[in-house]
Amino acid sequence: MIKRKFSYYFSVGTNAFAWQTVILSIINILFGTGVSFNSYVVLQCLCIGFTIPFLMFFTDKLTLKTNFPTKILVDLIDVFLVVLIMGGALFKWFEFVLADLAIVAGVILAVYFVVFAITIVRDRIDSDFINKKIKERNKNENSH
Amino acid sequence: MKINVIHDSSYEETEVTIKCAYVDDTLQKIINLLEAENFRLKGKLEDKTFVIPVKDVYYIESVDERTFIYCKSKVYETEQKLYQLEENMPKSDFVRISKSCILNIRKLNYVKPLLNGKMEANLTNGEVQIVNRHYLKGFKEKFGI
Repeated sequence: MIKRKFSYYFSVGTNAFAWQTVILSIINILFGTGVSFNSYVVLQCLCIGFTIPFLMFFTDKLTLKTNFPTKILVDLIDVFLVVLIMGGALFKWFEFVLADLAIVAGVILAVYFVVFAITIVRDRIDSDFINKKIKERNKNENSH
Repeated sequence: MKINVIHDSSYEETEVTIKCAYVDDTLQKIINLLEAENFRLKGKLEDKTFVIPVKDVYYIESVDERTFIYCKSKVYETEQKLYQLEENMPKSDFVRISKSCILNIRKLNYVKPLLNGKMEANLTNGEVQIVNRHYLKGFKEKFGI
């Protein structure tokens, strides 16, 4: 069970890291934030990308029996906390001023919902494939 | 593939021996089918013990430290724990979908993805089970994904 959960959160972490890096790069190019994407920044992104699912592992237990919108809210709070503490206070990616915080909030929402959307689409494709396999199997069994 | 069937009334028990250089996908399917046909579960209903062919099992669920075998319309209780059944059940047809449930994928009617990362498994008897997102990968692997 722990191996399964670790695998799930590892997958979430790598997806989040990938999309976080892409979105930050796009923002950097479009708005010229001045953040140079050197090896340190990439490793910092990786740290944040994996700390978030680590925190979600614990808060998931708190939201086990709550509804889905509450779960999303708790997830976003997890992300905001990690980004503010690690990204802002520790790695000094941004200042704690309204404009910077607004951009940070935008990036967080964008990454979260991109990863969410990808998961939805992937699960839809997979379920269609599974249903096709079920139909084929039922057809084979009925023909015998 | 050569198939030899030897009829002899002196044999007390049917024995299947497969001689092969290696086990390919087709052979593995045959072995899985034989294992599934051969496997039997014991379950209690109204103080009577029944032998349940595994092909009749829809899912097995553990509730309050008791294990129940769900067939089309009947529910039997077994003394075995879920993890013991999971180890002994034919791996081809059964998959763990949550901490407390093992599902027979042959009894699936269709599946539907849910927004919370889980999947709804609709069974041929009308019942619905939820595939927990932590078990989704193993569930999908049963279908070659």
